[in-house]
Amino acid sequence: MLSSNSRNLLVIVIVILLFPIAFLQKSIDPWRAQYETDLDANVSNKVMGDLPIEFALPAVTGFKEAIAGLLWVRTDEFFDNGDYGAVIPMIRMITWLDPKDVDVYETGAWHMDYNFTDADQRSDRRYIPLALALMREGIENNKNVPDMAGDMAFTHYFRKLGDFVGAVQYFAMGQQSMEDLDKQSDAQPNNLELLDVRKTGDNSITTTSHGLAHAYEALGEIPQAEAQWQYCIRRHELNIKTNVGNVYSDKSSLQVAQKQLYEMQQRAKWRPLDTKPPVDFGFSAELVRVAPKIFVVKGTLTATGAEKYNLETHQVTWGPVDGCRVEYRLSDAGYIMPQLATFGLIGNKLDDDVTIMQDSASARKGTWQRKVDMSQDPDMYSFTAPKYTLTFWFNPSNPADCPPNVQDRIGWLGEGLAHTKYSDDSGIIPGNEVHPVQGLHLYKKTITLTRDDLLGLSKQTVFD
Amino acid sequence: MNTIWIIAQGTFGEAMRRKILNVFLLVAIAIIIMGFAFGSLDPRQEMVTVRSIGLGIIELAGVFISVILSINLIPQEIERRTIYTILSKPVQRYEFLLGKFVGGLLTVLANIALMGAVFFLLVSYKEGHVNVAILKGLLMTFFQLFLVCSIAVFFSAFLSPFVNFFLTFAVFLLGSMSSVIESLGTQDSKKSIIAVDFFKVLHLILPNFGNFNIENPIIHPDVIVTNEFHYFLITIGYAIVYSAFVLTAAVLIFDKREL
Repeated sequence: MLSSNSRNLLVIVIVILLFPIAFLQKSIDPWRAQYETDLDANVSNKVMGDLPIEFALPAVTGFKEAIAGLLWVRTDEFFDNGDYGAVIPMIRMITWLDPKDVDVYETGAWHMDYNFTDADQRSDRRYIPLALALMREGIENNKNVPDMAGDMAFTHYFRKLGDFVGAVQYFAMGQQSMEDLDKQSDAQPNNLELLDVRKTGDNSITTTSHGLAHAYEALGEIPQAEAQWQYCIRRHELNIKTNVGNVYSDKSSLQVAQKQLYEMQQRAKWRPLDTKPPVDFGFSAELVRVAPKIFVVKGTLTATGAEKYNLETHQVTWGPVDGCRVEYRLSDAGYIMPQLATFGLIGNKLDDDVTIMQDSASARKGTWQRKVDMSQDPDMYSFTAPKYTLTFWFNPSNPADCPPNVQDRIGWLGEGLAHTKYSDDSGIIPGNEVHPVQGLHLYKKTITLTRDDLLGLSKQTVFD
Repeated sequence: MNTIWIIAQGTFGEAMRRKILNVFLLVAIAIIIMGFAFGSLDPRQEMVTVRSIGLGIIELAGVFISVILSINLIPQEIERRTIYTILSKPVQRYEFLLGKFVGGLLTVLANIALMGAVFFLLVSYKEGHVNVAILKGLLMTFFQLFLVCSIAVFFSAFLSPFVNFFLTFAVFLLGSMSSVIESLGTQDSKKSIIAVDFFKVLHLILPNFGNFNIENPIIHPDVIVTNEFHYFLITIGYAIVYSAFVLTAAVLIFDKREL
């Protein structure tokens, strides 16, 4: 038995030990963010509450990543069955359980942006703010994965939104992340794990750094694009020399970068000459209602471009060419895409009352036409708003709408397009009010429609 | 110290002969091996699932082994009345308790080492290189179980094994949700100050088993953790100090206990 003094001493020891315990826990807390996601308490509790019990218990005991993997398989099944509503909460749970699984962020956001579609394979654009919020969270949780920012830039801003300002921002972020990795690795030459991560990161030059050059070019910022291509060439050469990354891929990408730089420099030399005098593409657009919620959009766009072009000698033959696209977007009047602060469970519910439809049509032999059937998907197109805005536009800066041989005639930003009643120099591309493009010259036509215009029964009512 | 070590050796030898623990060990090793088949469930990241299941199984089996072993260390001696023989010799009660704890810990270490070796070899074979990160995970799992054992021994100083089993598991689950408790302790307009302060204190004084869950960077090799060594140092320090705290309390309670 312990003496009374010993017992008192032990009681004092117990009380004293509480302080280092609290101190150590306080010291540990800031480091935990490296090992688990740092989410708002409401979201964490909701996620835990929503997890089935058979998943919740293992999730708190160290099986988080395995549970996340199993839930991800289940998510694929929901997607295949078209149960899109179930996919988003699943993605929330999975990324909470395993915030480092970049695959879930990238694939989840890609699904939301591209694959939740109507009967005509048009994506549901109400999901875009969610996809962007999810990707922002993924980038924040995976700062040393350059591909995350690169994917945000390419898949979402460049391809989906045609927002090259946003694309530049995220491509640059990815490239910065790649350089930070290099610096960390240089500072710790014996850290082999870090070297592996660096090698993976350095493979992003082909995607992220090349993408940045393309995005600068799409914005007509040619000196920046040129500097960026030169940067890509230097990085590929360095990778080949130091045997970092994939040498075969670097050699191939080096050739691509050199070719892109050469062609852009030549174009920069000739385009100031080629874009004069301005040319009128004869843009027009109209809407024909065939039945309630079923329309035909059609119009004209007589694109002129280089049928043959020798960039070295400037021997060029101009003529009418196909390959341009006219985009059109129907949305509730005054609708502006919301900017979500977080990818939360509560904010993830889509607004069922919002109607947005966006697509494009290819111009061939000076005309374009497409049938738009919105009658099959009442969940996606509720038509509850009293008024709608329908916009048609031709964007010369978007490589998806205007191929390089047409840009040769009208320039990177449409500076060679003649001014007509449809000219728009605001720089605002419909659906993207956040990042206007300086100096952009669009052809744009906007119509305001009432609900009755869209839902009316009589056929062949024409809006032009 | 010599007395503690002798008791620890005896406890270790006896524990390693217990069939129930060996069954746990063998089942865990079997699941680790089978885990390699689960990898195909998530074809995008096969090794992510394999590593996660392997480390999770080692942790879960380790917790079961630790709890089942530790809750019986003292009550079994009392039930068999062998404790009277031991305490009639020049052995202090605190030496007996600490010896039992150290013996239990050695058993847990041996079990972790066996499961870990199987897992480490299989992962290294599958990946084609030695995966040192797995060893870091095993180290942290051991210190997590160090804390589990000390808490189970603390409860065993005054509770029956049946109650102790559920209580230790409850503390483990609660402590594993430390990040949730921490987030409840952050101020926002919807929470009362009393509730926030309560969760803050709870987060600081509860044994936070979540501190030892470092699987994520191990499972995803592209994750870079800064100052990992420092984190390991303070977390291991936490396990030792917290265990010292509960074992001191256990010594006090056991010393007063009617035998």
